Amino acid sequence: MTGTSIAGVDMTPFGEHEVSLPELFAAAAKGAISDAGVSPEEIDQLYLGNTFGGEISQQSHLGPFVASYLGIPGIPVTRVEDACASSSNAFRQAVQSIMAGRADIVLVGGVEKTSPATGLTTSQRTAAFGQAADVDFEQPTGLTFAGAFAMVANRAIHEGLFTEEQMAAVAVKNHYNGSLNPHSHFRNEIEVDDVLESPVVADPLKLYDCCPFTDGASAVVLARDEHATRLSDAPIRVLSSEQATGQTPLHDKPDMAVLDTVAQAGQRAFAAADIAPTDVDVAEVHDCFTPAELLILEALGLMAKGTAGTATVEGQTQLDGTIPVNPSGGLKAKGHPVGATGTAQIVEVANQLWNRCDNRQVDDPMIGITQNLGGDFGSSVVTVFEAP
Amino acid sequence: MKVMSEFSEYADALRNREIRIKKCDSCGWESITPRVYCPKCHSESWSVRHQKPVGTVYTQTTIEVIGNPEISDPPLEVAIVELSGGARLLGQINESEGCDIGDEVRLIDIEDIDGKSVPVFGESK
Repeated sequence: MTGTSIAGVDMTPFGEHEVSLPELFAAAAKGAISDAGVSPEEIDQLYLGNTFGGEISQQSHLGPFVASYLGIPGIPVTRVEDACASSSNAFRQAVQSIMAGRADIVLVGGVEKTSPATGLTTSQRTAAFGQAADVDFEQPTGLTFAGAFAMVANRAIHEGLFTEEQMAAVAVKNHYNGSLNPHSHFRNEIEVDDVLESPVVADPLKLYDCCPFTDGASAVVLARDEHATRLSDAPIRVLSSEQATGQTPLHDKPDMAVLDTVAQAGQRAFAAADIAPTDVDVAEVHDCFTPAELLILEALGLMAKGTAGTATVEGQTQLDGTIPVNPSGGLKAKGHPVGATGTAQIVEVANQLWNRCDNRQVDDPMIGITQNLGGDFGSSVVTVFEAP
Repeated sequence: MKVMSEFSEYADALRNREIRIKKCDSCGWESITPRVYCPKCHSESWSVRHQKPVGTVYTQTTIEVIGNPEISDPPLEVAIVELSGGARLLGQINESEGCDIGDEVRLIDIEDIDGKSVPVFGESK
């Protein structure tokens, strides 16, 4: 697939924000528009990822409110809801819209508020997240998202794929990376014992194995190649953007220790981009819980099955490793404002490919990927980017 | 056109201590969760049977930070149980018992949560 490129990106700091969803998104959008050097009237469409506008922020139908607040009413706006993969799916829709010849320049991004600043309790916010689980087979059992990923982790540990200490190494690495990222929710470094000794959320997941409840927004200006080259000296080409869905509910996943949804999206994306997993120089992946990062690396073929834990402890995924993973700090440290996460991953990969990540910059990457997961493995989007 | 109500048929069977299982007439694929077309061969011809709710714990966790206090106080143990034949079902584990992967369990209770039937598994005796 050819034809679309990134001309500009930006994101808000991730953390707690006491502003409205349109105000929060506009901060990121204005930054991306300015970064691209595009005039607001040139934007043909807006795709917006948002998951819990109705459940947490009492605001459905967010698209027109955001476009109006930005001052670009009239254009087609589509809100995309795909749980935690909402804005990477919005990005994929934007790519398809340009490829179909229906738009030249598209603003795409995501926004979410899930932090304590929403005024809701942890249980209330956990319950809102729970609405992305199956209403007949999952929700009535009291299953939480941490519980779903814990059951996957316990199966993987049972099969000898990794250990709790190796899971902890993911958190340690991502907190270190987050400490170098001024937009990260958590900036503190931690050690393996901090993870292992933190309170249990759902065994084997401890508090430091889990991403936080975060507020934030992220935005990307995507353009047909000829417009991208007009706007930017060095646009980043989108080589592919692919989605797959998995068998739901959770008990129908064929193998709980293999993220087949991620594997399928990855295979499609790598094939469409005509690259191999070994071509990837930097990856932002969906480490909502530490075992997810390990299983995602194996599903994508970046690591052989059962080796990601050892590779992480050996440092292969750190900033100067053979395949740096989550240089931004990932969901674990940078934070997880659900609907904003997918395009925030894209913001980081774009900045890495532009070599503008300061002291968390990986060494001259040419190919970067993002992998975003929706729900308890129900969907995944993988997108491949090429440096200018 | 016929609108199916298979989810309630599943719940009704569960209240009678039986697991409703659909088996594809064409390829033999089995599932507790209702499907319209078989995800393996896309046949729409199914046989329904009911199975004794005994099986083996495929995976489990004990949830300490709960989402809905009306369902359970913490800790809440949940498991995916693999029935003989291979179909799997998510349920709760009886709080006084606990379980590990590989344990044999049987259905010992049904919790009614907002009109939905939740299977509760316990030690197989």
